[in-house]
Amino acid sequence: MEAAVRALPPRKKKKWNKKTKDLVFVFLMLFLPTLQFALFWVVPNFNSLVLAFQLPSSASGQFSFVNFTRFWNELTEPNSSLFYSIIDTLVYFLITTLVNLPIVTFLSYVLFKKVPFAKAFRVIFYLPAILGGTVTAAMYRYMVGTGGPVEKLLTAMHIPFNAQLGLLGNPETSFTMVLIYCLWTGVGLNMIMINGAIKRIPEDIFDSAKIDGVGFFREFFQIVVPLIWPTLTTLLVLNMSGLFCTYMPIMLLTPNDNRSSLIGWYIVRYTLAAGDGSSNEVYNYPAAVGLIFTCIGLPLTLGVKALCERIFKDVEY
Amino acid sequence: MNKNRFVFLGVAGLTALLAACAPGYIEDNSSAGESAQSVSLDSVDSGASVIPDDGTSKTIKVKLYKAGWGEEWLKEMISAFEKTYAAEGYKVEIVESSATVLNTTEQELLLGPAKNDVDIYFSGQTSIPTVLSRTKKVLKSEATPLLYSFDNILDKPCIGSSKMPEKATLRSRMFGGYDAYSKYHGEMTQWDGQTFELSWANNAVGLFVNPRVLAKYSLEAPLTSDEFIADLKTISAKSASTGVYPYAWAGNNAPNYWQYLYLSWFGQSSGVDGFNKWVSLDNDNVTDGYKVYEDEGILSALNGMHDTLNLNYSENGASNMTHLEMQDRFLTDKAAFIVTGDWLYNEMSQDYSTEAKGVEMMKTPILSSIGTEIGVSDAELHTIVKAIDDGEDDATIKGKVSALTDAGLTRVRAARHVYASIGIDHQVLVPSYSDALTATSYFLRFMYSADGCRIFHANARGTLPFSYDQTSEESAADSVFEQSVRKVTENGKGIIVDENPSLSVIRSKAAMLSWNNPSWRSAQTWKTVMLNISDSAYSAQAMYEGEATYEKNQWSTYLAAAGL
Repeated sequence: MEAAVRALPPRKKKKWNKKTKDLVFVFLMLFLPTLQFALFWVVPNFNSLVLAFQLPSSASGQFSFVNFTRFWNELTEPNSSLFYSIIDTLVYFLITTLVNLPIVTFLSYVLFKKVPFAKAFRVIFYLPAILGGTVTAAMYRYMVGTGGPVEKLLTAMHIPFNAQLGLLGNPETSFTMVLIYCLWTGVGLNMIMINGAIKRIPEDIFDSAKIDGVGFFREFFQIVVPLIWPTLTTLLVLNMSGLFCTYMPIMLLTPNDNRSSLIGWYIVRYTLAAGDGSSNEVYNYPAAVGLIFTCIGLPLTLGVKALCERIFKDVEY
Repeated sequence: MNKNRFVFLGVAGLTALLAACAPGYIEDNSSAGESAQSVSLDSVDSGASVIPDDGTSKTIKVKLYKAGWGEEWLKEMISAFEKTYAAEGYKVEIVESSATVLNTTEQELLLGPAKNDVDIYFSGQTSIPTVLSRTKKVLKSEATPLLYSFDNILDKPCIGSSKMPEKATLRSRMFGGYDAYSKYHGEMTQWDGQTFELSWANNAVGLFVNPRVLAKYSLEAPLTSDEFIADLKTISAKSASTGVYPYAWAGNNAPNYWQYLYLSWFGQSSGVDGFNKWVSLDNDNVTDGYKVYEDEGILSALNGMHDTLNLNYSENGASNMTHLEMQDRFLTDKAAFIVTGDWLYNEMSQDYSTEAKGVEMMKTPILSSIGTEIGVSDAELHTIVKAIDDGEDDATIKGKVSALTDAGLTRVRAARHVYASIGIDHQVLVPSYSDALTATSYFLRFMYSADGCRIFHANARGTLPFSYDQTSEESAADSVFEQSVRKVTENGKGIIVDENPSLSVIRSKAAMLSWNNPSWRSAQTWKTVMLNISDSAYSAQAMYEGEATYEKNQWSTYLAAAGL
């Protein structure tokens, strides 16, 4: 027996142990996303940073602050689209975050309580998120457009409006209509996240609350909101970080309205114009604007995150 | 389990349905359903010589930005060219024909000879100054510019299907002034004045009229701006009951189509040279180039625009209408006039094949202020313009209007030729590192020959910006729309081009547009004016003075941005 064992060829040592294999696996899984991140985020943003400090169309890449001078000139000019873009962005944030988010949270809680037709309401709220921006914008334009159902309703209710310009074509009302569109389409995605967070709350807590005689609203404010606060914080921070990047609603509904604009659209508009070789616009200016608002948005977002985390401590369950 | 299966199938079916409806699956409508149109061409003349083999490649690789003009024109062009140059063995291969060519051309040119083997780009939106400024980086030397200079062929004759040289050179047949807009002026001063791009479409823009609508009001196409405004008022007076409006405009995505009308009036008032002086900032006059904004032609044009722009002259909701909706209103007889471009027919004919027939491009009505300046009444100006359109000679015209001077008649004639074009956006670009330059040069000389122009017109239904005499067959085959565009463009006698980066280094580097005052900056100018037309801050005089003052105040900033 021993002789037979000695005659066997020596067992080859395994080249890779389990730990190595795990590392290789993780590396391979992360390689493509990291490469994509490097190529499509790091490189363009670094290039944008460099462009912001270059003289426009300079082959030698001459350093200059002229793009920032232009920004200041545009900002201090009365009635400039930059000025209105900033105002509209602040209003957009207030409405979509400080108004929409609480409403959606409450609606999610109502649907969670299995009110009649809850499933149907859920589909209705989710639909704009599923259909996509272009489709919902086309539907919305029809609904609020000249001679559309909304105008007919306003006429029937004797609510005055400028029929000649229409609700979307009138600078006095165009941005309000864009906000309503954003409220309508912003419900679905937020609701999915919040609904998921509410469902994670253990049933025992609700049962205990019921036994203790906790009412509908008290349960919402004193139990549900604190327990889903991390999710609400995440949504708030996401909204903050995307504040200066949002442009789709404006591009789809009011692309050429000075009084209805967002910072994101302001930057995109100049970027698109710069890409049009027949125009004299350049990439350097939108790069500078983007950098300015990054410097504003980054500390703001981090500050809001820190503040939110202090309000309610995270509870594990 | 069955329920889950149904849910899964339902979701999969909905996804497939939505995906099929997605815009990406919809082909370019303007060229869908078109078939190639061959043109009767001469065969190769027996006396034609064979191009000697110089060792360069005989295969030309081409990329085409497939836009509203489709691709059949290029295929037919290639077929005719290869037939003509069968003895030389020249071949043309379409490497790519898609909308994405527009976005990739500039990057591909910069790849250099090792990685890019495309010989001709029919594209657009490529910044010539940017490409040329990277010459040393790509070619490791500035001995040759990165782009092929078309000066190598512009002073040579075109060669059609007979393979015999035509009498005229490319440059002489190029629409008047086009080469001025193509000449390079930039940082690489050693190449100043050379031509690195040609155009492959004459996109005429301006005023279009629906004669069916005018006929209902017993009106004819107006010849002066006062007549034009009177027509707008006549139609508008009955709009509430008829539902027909003087014009349609697109406040949502094309409000600055109005710029085309403004440009035409500015060009009429100041003349082509005056207009070009404005675009070029007086040839980049560093000291006081901003003074071009004090040109009184701008004020005259603004007065015309301010009389034209009136919310009552368009349907409710026009301020948020898209350009397709605008063109729909025009073609379905709900508007008499529209300001757009000669793509109108191609873009809309598939869904509006009946309605599109009969609408016409019209020459921009002559500014009545010109009549005042030359000392004739508006009725007399009408007589003069009509006589010019009818081809009458100077003596006959002066006989009809006693107050008319020679200078006045010359001015009106020049104004009558003026039209605006954005065709410069459609660029023909050839990298200088192409290995098929000989074959490429002969292909382009063929393309811009009379035969090539006919092939383009037969298949794209547009025109190349090169003049040629139409055959009687071709004229007969032209639609009313196409005939009207030719009448307006007149082989490019009075062409003007707006905001072309080649014409002014300062404009290009300082991002200086036509309108820079933030109150009405370019892209939103005319919508802003339209919505504030009753506000004195947006009157013609206020705009004129406001813009001129702004340019003067910003001049040092522009110069700083331009590195001057």
